[in-house]
Amino acid sequence: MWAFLHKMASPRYFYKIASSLVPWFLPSGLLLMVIGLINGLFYAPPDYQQGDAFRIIYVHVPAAYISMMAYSLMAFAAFVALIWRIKIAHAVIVGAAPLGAWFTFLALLTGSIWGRPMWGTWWEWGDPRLTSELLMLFLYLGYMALRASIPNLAQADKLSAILILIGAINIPIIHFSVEWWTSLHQGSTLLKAGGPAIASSMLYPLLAMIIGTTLYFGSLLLVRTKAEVINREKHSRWAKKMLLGNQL
Amino acid sequence: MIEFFTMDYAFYVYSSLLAFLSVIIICTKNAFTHLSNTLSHVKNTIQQMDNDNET
Repeated sequence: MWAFLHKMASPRYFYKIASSLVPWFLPSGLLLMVIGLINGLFYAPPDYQQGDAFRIIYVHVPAAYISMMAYSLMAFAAFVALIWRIKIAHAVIVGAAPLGAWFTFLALLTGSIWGRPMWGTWWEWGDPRLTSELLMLFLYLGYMALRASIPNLAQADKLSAILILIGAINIPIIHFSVEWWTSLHQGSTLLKAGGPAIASSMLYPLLAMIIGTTLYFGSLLLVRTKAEVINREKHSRWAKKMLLGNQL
Repeated sequence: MIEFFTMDYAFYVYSSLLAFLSVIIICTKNAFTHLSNTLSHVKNTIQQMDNDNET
């Protein structure tokens, strides 16, 4: 395991592995999403309280999960980058940030669309889950703005990694906000003591969506990280050989 | 099977689906365009550096 991780820290090896994983991750992720969406939208039974509006979870929950997972991954990579000075970790953060921002926006948008029929409002400023998720969107945007504003790469890497680590305190706040404070948002359905509080006919399409979206996110993360790696390694011999040797 | 347009709250469900599909399309297109642009930019930079070294 450690040997594999050590190898993955090599930009050249990472680029090669990423190129071979994307053609598997992307189609399998998209296929699982199609299966999950069709089953969730048309075959799962309506919820006894929320009716068909509950079907919004098939897009909202994967988006919210990816938004938090992407930030957690960025925080882990920032920690690795700052402590062990592994360059590839900075490239992973750069690759994950725009994807995380898009999925956070999607989680907020679909949550708002769900809120209108269920809570009677599109948005509630006093709700801790909603506002902490919005704060995470600002953290993503702030990270990208900070990077773009610093021309020196090493300085941009270091300062933006520190920002990511400081913002990581928001992750447990988002997750536990529905337990710590009074919230419009319902409590956790999947990660609940005693198992998921959802019928299997509703659960399996949701799991397909979550796994599919994760694979999809992983594939695009690899694509974006590849771009960052090759840009940082343009002076290296392997990058020159690969690009000028037409091995694209 | 649930009927496509007679579903309760159809407007909200399909608006969410449309938002999801839009983000998937945007993210996919952006990622591959970004990689393609970066590769051609880096390739041009390397060729320029090689030409400068020769002269």
